[in-house]
Amino acid sequence: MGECDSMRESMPLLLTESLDAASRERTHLHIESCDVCHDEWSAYRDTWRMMDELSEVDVPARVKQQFLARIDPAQAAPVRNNVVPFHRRSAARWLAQAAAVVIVAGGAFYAGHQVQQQRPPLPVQAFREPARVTGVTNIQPAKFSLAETRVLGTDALSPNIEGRPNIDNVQFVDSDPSDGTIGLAFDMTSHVTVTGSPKDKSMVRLLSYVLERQDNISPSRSQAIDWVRQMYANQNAEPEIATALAKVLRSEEHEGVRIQAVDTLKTLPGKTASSTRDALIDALKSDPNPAVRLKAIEALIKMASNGEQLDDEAVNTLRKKAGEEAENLYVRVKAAEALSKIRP
Amino acid sequence: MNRIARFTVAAILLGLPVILTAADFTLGAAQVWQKEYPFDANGSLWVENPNGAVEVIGADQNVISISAEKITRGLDEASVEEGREQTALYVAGDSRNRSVRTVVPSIRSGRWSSAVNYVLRVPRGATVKIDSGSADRIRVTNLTGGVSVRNINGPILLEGDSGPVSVDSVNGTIVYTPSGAPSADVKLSTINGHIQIYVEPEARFQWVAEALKGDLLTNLPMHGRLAGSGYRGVLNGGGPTLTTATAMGNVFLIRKGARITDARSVRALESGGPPAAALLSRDIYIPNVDGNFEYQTNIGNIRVPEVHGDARVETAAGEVHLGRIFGSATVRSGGGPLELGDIFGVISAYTKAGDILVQAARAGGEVSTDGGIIRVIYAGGTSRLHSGGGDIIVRQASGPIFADTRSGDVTINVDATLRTTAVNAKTNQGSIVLNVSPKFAADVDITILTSDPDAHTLRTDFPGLQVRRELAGNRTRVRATGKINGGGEKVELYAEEGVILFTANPARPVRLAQP
Repeated sequence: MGECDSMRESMPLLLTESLDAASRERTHLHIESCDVCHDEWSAYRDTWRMMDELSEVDVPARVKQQFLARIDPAQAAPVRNNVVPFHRRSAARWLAQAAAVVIVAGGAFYAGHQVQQQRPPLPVQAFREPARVTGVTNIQPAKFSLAETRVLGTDALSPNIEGRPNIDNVQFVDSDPSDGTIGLAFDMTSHVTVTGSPKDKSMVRLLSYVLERQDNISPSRSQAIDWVRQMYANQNAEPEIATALAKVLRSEEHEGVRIQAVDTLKTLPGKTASSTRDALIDALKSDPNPAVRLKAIEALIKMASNGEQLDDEAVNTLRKKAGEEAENLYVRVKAAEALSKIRP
Repeated sequence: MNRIARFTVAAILLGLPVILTAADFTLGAAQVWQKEYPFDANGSLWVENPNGAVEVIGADQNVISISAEKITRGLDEASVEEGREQTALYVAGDSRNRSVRTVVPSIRSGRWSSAVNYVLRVPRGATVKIDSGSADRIRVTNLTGGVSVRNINGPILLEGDSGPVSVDSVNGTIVYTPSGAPSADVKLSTINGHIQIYVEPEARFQWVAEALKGDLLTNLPMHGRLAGSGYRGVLNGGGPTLTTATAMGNVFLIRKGARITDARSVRALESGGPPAAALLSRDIYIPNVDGNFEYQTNIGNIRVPEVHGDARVETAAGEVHLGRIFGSATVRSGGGPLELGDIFGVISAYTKAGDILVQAARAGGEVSTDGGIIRVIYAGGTSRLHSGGGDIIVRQASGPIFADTRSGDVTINVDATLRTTAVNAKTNQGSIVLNVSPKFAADVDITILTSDPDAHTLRTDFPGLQVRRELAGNRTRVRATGKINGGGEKVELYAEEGVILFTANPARPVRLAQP
């Protein structure tokens, strides 16, 4: 846990971009590999963002007094390590945010020491403690994150089990019989419905992840992609969705799915990413299904019509297709049409 | 002529001659650079110029004279200066092989553009290779050595050359006027441009020509034969080969001194009359046809909103849009999407590549694509749907359906009012969804062949089917058979590597327009 403590101390500095490059990289690597710190970091980041959105209010003197009265100087000392300089912000906001961070971090530290010395302060607990402070009463709990594996303390688990979730592969773990704790590991299947704006980053990420996965979309990936096409056809392009579809176009064996993927790429508005363009060119070069090649050309035509530059590889591929006797005649004609859109 | 290298800034005319080719670029600068280098009589010259004209002139000299005019345009003086700095001219090589190149960064500011116009005088016997992007024109004259040109935009003019020629353009028109009779092989190719060749009437050569969408025209007494969109003929007994190919344009082979308008289609020459309509390329739009409609074209899009009779349409490549057809509809396309509206008679539609959409196949029929998605909103009679790769979707089947795809999903909603109808759906890679009324009666035979039996399952709202699992090689075959609601017409569903959903959740009915 020594490393986790150190990393947690670095988080405020990371938040304010005050860490040097090496420390920043080290901290990020740790956060990515440690679930608990990842949650902690997410909570920090969300708190920071929320505070930025909150109206600026002074911390009431009474609250400040009460808080300081509850901690003695010895306990407060480590908290000071978490206080970081806030550059380039207006004085009022700087004060409000600094005070709030001190309160959150101090509260977390205090709660951690008072309640359970061994356990890292969970972000939700940290928020609960200073909830009496007017300025941060509406802070939300840490975001639910989809994760392949997760380690939870019993205090983070509600005693109520909702419905009858499927639990498989149960294992009892007691790595240290003398520490008074036991572990229960299992795979759980529960049905989750995520609602939100199609523009929401979390929704975009989730959809991209699902599109790239090759299994268990009901009833099929093809229909899922069709649904995405209808959803995003009239909105600003989401690069992550396009990237996911480009991967599908490159790697999917199922021709029907590739057709849907390229059809959707064709309809997505906005500038084409290089990865998407490369996938279209590869599809045009070598996809055995003529409909995929045809739609790849149509996507390139749309690119050129929108004033996007076709690079040398795209031009050469279209050139070759237009003159390839073995190619379907209509594909050749469309390749010629795409080339005619090239402007000096 | 002074052979000592000199670098002359002839004019930096910022703000004076405002050169406006791009609306945003309001300032321009021109810089002229001239130099001479020793060059062998049969040396090789390579010119690479992404933007700007190139003129190469053969002359009696043993040097290469380079004159380059660099034109930079920008939004402001700083942009013009940046463009001027980042557009570099390089001359490399020796007297045997010389290269002249314009280099601009591939990723650069959009605040400026630049072009370099070259005039190069070389020994007549030089071999010249030009690689260009966009140019006002490329002109190569009076050379006896080989000429090779490749460009994207801009016309290419070859005049008075007598050596072998190879031209490959994307959007440029090629005009070739050899010195005397062609004495070496010539290959001219463009995708969207035309090709014009002017030769002496006594010239001897063979002509191999192809025009995918356009025509091949000449006023010379050629002897040859047509093969599809190509032609092969000889003039005065033959000689070197003149190969011409254009995808979208026309090819003209014209006697020197004659007008281009005198040329006739070789198709007409071959048939002895005007070219048959079937061989012309054109896009057609006819708003309303009384009676039957029949049309053929080699390449072209066809759009006919209404036909009060049977429609029969064929295109070698192109889109077909038919609206209301009161009779049968027969459509054949060598490639291109088909969109058929409300078809009262039997449909027979096929394309080699592309999606097919049928709004209403009231009497059913056959719909097939070698690759693409088939969507049928309403299928009245018996309908057979086939895709070589792509989904098949039937919004409402009010008659028997036979659908199969090599790779794709099959989704069929059976008319909720139908008590029973035959359904046969097959996909070699994909899933099947069949929605019917809860009262639907059928003899059911469902098969899933899968390498992942946990993921690819049968889900049905109809209890009582007998399900068996067995190994089939290294895969698992899941088969469900039985009668639902007492039995009826046969429902056969077969999916490999996909799920099958057989549900009692019919979609809302499709409303058809009154005839």
